[in-house]
Amino acid sequence: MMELQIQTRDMFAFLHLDPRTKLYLLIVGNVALFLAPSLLYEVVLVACIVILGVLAGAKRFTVKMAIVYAGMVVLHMIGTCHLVGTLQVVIVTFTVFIRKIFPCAMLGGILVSTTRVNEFMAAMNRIHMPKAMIIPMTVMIRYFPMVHEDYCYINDAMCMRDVGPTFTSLLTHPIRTVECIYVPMMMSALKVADELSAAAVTRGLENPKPRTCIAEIHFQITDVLCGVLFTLFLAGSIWVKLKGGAG
Amino acid sequence: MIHFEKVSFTYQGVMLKGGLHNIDLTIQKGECVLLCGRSGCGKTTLTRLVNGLIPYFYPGELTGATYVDEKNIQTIPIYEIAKRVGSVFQNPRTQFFNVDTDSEIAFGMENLSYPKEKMKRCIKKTMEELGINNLIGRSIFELSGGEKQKVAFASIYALSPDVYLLDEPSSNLDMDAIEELRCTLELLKKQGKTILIAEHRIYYLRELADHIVYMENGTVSRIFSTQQFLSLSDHQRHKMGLRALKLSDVHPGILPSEKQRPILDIKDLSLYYKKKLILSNLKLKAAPGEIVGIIGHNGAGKTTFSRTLCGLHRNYTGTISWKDKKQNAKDRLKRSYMVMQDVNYQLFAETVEKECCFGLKHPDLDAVKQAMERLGIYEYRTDHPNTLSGGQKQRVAVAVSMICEKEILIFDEPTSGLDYESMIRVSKLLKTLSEMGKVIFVVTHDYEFLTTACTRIIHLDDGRLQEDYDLISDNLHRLHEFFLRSERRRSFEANGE
Repeated sequence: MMELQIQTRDMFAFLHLDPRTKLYLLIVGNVALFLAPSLLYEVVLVACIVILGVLAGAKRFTVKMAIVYAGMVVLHMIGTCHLVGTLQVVIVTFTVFIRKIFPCAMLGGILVSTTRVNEFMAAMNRIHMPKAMIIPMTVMIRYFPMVHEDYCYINDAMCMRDVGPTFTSLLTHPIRTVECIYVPMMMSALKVADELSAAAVTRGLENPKPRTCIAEIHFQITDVLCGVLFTLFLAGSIWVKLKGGAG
Repeated sequence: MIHFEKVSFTYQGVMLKGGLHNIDLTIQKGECVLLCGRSGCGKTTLTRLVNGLIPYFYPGELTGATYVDEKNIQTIPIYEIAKRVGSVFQNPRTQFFNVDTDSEIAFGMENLSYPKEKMKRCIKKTMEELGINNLIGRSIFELSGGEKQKVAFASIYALSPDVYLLDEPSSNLDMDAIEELRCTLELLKKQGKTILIAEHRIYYLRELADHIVYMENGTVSRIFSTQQFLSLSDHQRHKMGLRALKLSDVHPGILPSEKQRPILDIKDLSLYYKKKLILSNLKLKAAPGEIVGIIGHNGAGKTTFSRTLCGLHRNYTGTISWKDKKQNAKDRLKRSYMVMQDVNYQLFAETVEKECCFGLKHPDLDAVKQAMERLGIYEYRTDHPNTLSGGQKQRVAVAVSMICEKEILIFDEPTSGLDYESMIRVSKLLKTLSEMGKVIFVVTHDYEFLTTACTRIIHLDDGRLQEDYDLISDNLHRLHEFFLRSERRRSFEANGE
């Protein structure tokens, strides 16, 4: 089973982006991926995301995701060139679907795992996002790395009951396997969200006065570069789409 | 000063336990007050009234008034209360809002709009005074439970509130961390802070607490001075459902002397975690019916050892045999079962009965019924496991292990956050399993539980098996040695002064 360890330290990060830039990249990147006119275009865009991930400090996560993505691309090419009939349809549909989802998840994972919670809150305050939206988003960011911890425990528990989440069990008992992960995960999430909120509320999270932040947040030249790069990708895919539509 | 005036409270909805009836209580400034009593007696609820979580976060029916420094808590917003009252909760894992220590300590100050310079000054001061300079700039995922608790404390301390509330702060801590928690509380007391602690494990507070408030069914049933409290007899204390006051007062029960032939044989076991050697050359034999307590400090490899025994951790060298047959990881997964500290992770189905049959191709319904009856959960068979209490969930997990005919059982901290009676119930459960001929391992930091339940102790530390002995009265001093070390060190220091 693949282990999706998301790094939380940014000690070795070369690239430290402002959370506002990250939010922008996430939106623009996803739209650009969705509209990507060709496989090559998409692969180049994904390569940029991989570079971004490595520079931002989420190395292990990015590399693992990139390997899976590469596998999907290869499978897709084999599917289109060397297979015929139903099998081709199944393989191609499957890989196209995964190929669209995967880079989005990768981009999201990179950006979330390299963002400090307090920086994110400060940045969202700057763009005057209402508190009612910031707090749930922050709890979400905070919960992501915990999913991994929870998953490890659940995986252990499943193995001891002989219903472990292996490849075969996913094929023979797909619903049971998903349920086994999902049910305890939900229960844990509910409990964690509740306790986390209680702990935050008793430390004045809901103070209406503007929050201060111990870390500096401001735009740097790298923010501008990344923003421009992703905007160009988006513009490119829209342009090709429009031209294709007209011609 | 904290003052409760005729306070009654009932939780809204499904959470019916833990309400309060007509509480009148005054806590003077600078006092340290311990709230104790059985699970569900309302001690946590009382702390929630002071930090404003009731009625703001936990709605319900509230009458009467709670005052902190002459101000009615219910009339001021919860972020204002945060300046006066700081709260530390039970689970260190879920009270972190950030993922790195520095931001976490700053969290409360950021919320209260402290200017940056002041924040930096406060963080530095906090870290020095609490002695946690070694925790600067760490990710919370690499901290131990005790370290997390310290950072959670620091985050409150930085705001310097007058009142500290602690809700079962020791339940996830090991012996050394509890001792450090005690030192922190001592520091706060010296600074003249008011401290209110709801707790089951009370031995570490016996010299700190000025008053002990004993609660029963949502009312304050008695208030003891420290002297009165310490002079309670064991019998009275057990009747009140309270844990031991002094570790040296706990005595082991009488153990069955005849031992069977060893059935589990571990030879030259070395455990690795990502190439790092965790535990080397462990040799161990265990017979059916033995209840083996595993003790050791954080990071001694207790968890890795139990996961290896279950077949979950595969990075090891050496052999593990059962009835002289070598067992690989898969064989061990079939033969063994771990009851986790957070048992919620291992319950999957929508009723207790379905849970017991879960994942089995041909469940033996008679065996299922028998197991449920034996563990006293038959009457709950149509209930959802999540509606049960912690102890009942634990028994559901044990029922599963009985139905799957597991022969090696491992319990990970089965008594964290349990009162005296629930602890005794767990130890009886272990005895039942032992009579069935299971080999049982218990990883725990709970001295009182070890002495009531276990027949043998193995001590892991510094990467190897330090001690292995039967828990009979001749050997009791060895267990004392391990557990009372931190306590005794302190009393030596006190005498020296």
